Amino acid sequence: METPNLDYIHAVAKGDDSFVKEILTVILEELPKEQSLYCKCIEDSNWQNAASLVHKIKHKFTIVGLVQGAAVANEHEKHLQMNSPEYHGQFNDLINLVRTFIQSYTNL
Amino acid sequence: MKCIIIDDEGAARLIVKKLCEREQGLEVVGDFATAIEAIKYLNKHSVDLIFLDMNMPMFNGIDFVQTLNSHIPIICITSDKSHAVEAFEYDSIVGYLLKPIDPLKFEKAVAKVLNAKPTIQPQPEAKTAEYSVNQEVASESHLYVNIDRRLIKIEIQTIYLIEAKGDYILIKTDEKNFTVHSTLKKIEVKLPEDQFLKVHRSYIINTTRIVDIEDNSVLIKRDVIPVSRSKKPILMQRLNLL
Repeated sequence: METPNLDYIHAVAKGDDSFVKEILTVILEELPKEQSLYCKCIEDSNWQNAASLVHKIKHKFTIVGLVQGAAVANEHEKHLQMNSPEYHGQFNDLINLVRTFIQSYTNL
Repeated sequence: MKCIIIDDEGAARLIVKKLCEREQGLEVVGDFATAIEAIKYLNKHSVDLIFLDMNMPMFNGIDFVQTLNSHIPIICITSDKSHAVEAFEYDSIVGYLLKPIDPLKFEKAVAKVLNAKPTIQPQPEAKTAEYSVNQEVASESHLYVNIDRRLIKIEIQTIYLIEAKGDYILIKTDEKNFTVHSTLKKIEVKLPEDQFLKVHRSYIINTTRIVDIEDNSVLIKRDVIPVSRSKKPILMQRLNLL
């Protein structure tokens, strides 16, 4: 499985460690809220709103270098727009992977 | 140059802010999670550049551009290339960046706006330009264009269409056509506002010469010219409709 990394964040930060900390904190604040809203939409079969949330979460995958993860998110978004939650499990696992990864950094 | 950022995602706003910090001459004066908040801010403050996320719930980037109806340059930010095509329908949109934003592409997009800024307020052409619309000697009834170092007089009333062609514009008149090294923006300010209208990012038309209008196009002489959705209401207002 693809491993998240901080390459992109470091490229933007250009040595500013406080930025690295700040962006990880923001993602860690936003992602659980977005995940919970997303899961609620899936439970309610509200596919269109779920697709919008997938679109938003997908950006966070790319911030931590998950290229294949973003591709899964893309497929999931497209399928949700056609009322199919086929990729839900895989997508939710990716969110958890990102959360765990960022948590490990913010705990340092 | 003052700029604002509009994106419903905090992490995305933070990245754009950081990239702005790295640019000399760019100052972030506000960042907003919704387009509505940004519109409220813009009602009271002026800015020179807007970074706009296209995909926002309720009131998206395109809704914002249509509501704003101003010439403030906008750089669109999107995760989806297909949004970029729609974005370029609007004159104020000067660039787009795909998420995650590549810092080098960001620099280039900002440089384009910073370099273009002086032309927003018309200034005399550089003397070295081989072809140019001569702004010094243009008057209300005619303008001079510089072609092969010769100043050629064009009667404004004879112009029926101007088309952007890369770094050049094609000025079509009743007598002949002129290809001039210039932009639609530069020539637009030289033309009578009540008679000429930029109906599309690539076309300015003489509205008094319209032969026919059908859906999103107009017929001018023998040319069928597309009309942007955003320009159609202005065009319709100009016409003497029965």
